[in-house]
Amino acid sequence: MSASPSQASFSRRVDSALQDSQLRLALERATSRFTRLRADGLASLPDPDAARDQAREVRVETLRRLDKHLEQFADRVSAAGGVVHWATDAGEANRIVLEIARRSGARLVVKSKSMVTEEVGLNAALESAGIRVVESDLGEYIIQLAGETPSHIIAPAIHKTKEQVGQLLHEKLGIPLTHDPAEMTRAARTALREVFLGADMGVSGVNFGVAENGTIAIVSNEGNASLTTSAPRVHVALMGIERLVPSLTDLSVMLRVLARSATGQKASVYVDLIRGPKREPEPDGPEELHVILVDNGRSRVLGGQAAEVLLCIRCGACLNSCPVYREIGGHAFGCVYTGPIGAVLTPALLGSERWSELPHASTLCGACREVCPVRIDLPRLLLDQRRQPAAASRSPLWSRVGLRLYRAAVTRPWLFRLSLRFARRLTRTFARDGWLKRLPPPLAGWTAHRDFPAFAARSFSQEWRSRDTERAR
Amino acid sequence: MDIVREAEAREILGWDQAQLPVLGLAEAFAEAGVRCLDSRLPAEAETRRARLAELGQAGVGVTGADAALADTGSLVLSSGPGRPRLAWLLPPRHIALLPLARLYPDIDAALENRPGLQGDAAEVALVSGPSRTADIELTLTRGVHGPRDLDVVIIA
Repeated sequence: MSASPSQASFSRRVDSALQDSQLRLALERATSRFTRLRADGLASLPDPDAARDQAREVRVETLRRLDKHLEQFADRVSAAGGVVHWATDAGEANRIVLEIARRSGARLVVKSKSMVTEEVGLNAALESAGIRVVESDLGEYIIQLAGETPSHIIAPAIHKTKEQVGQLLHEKLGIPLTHDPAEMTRAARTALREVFLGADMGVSGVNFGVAENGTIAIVSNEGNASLTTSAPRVHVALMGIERLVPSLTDLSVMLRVLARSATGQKASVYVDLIRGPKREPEPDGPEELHVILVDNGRSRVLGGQAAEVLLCIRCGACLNSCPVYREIGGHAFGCVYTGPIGAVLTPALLGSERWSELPHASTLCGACREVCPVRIDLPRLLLDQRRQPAAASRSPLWSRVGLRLYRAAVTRPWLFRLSLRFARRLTRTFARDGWLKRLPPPLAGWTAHRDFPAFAARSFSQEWRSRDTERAR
Repeated sequence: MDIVREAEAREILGWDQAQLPVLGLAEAFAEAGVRCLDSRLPAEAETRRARLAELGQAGVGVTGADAALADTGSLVLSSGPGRPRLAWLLPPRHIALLPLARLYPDIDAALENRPGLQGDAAEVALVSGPSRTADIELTLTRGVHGPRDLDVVIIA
């Protein structure tokens, strides 16, 4: 992982996120805006449900015969003059990039946003080889300057106020202090233009690879991906092996829902469909195109229960709808993939022991499944992850015992009624004005921030029965 | 020419005259004392950087358009001989000359009518407006890395 967040445990990271009122304000603003934009964006389609069904179909078909599509894709990329590399894991991916950089004598690399490069920790690998790497996406550039990691898939710097960004640019770029986003953007544009025009190598991700003709499709709103892939002499594109679609028609199905799900736009401003390096008579474009297909655990996931998680097209809609993510943001997750999708993908790809807490950070409300453009059943996947052996043993003893007792009580109506009577007497004895301000551990966590109501004098069924009896008279 | 004058551009980065649907532009530029830059990028590092620095000075980029899509407001631009990609990416202002006959309702219609649209181009770009970002506090700003202004001139 690049620029790894603190090694503090998940609950400590969550706590610090919850204390950060400015972060929570920023998250609230961003996620509610994106949610609204997504709803409007999808509503602009003649049949949004059909569009999502179609998108899911395309991705399911892709994964169903992934081997065949990958072979065809690699074949077509080579036929167009690109060089295809296969990376089994993160280390290999970085080695391949370093080798390409070494052979082309690259000292300066410009990057457009790519989650898979963060996953494999590419920036750190390049930097330790003495190569300067500059992120060109404005949000990524900002957090790179700040030495932080992204807090959201689509808007990486969403946790920063404009005052913080102004201060950062003032310090790092030497521009006069400003709070005007337009001025800051202009300053970043100037700084980054030098990088675009001086970089030896451009590194990008790939939104979708098209198997039928070896096209790689890259989308952006800023045009940074377009410049990254057009100006430098060498273009290296990293792609997770699952990011394919079979044909160009399938690509248009995916593009129809991608931008709408992410930001509500009908289309991203720039969609670059790249097939091979520049042709001989073309005036510009890269002399060399390298496509690195990264596995890093994906083929293992494909063969397992969590295979559905590979349908993901990285739109970020699930993050914006998740009540947990909306409170704690991306940094609390402590890994490159955050939110509901990250809570499944990270343990699935990188090992359940280290990330076993993530799938528990969910209310299973299903909001993520509601908004997913490819209809991934995230709640089911989260439950599956919770049942992983490593994850299961991590549950605290009081929770496991408590759940067992609860199950015993609710499956035996007489025991349930008895427990209710007991709880009623207990809460009413200790309540003040009908509320308990402090519960003993392990329930103390509840009353740390809210009161617990005393149980009513009569249960609902008792009330109902007595009213029934009254009516009968 | 009006746009070029308004932008006070001294240099243009554009597609070759042969690739543009409007005749006489080369002459018009010459008359106005506006220089059309050589868009070819050398493969060698030093000279490439020097050429790129020069191209970065262009005030306006001029291209044609292979197609345009009405539903998303997109231009379809493909690279090719005499068609630099940087023309629609680098300058702060981009003028796209679009023949009316190339305007289609959506991508499916475009592909139906022009099956060879992708051709052997190394790149086909769909451009749907000027460059933008909302990365700083969700405030929308135009002209981030790509052009700030995009003018589409429809030629009947």
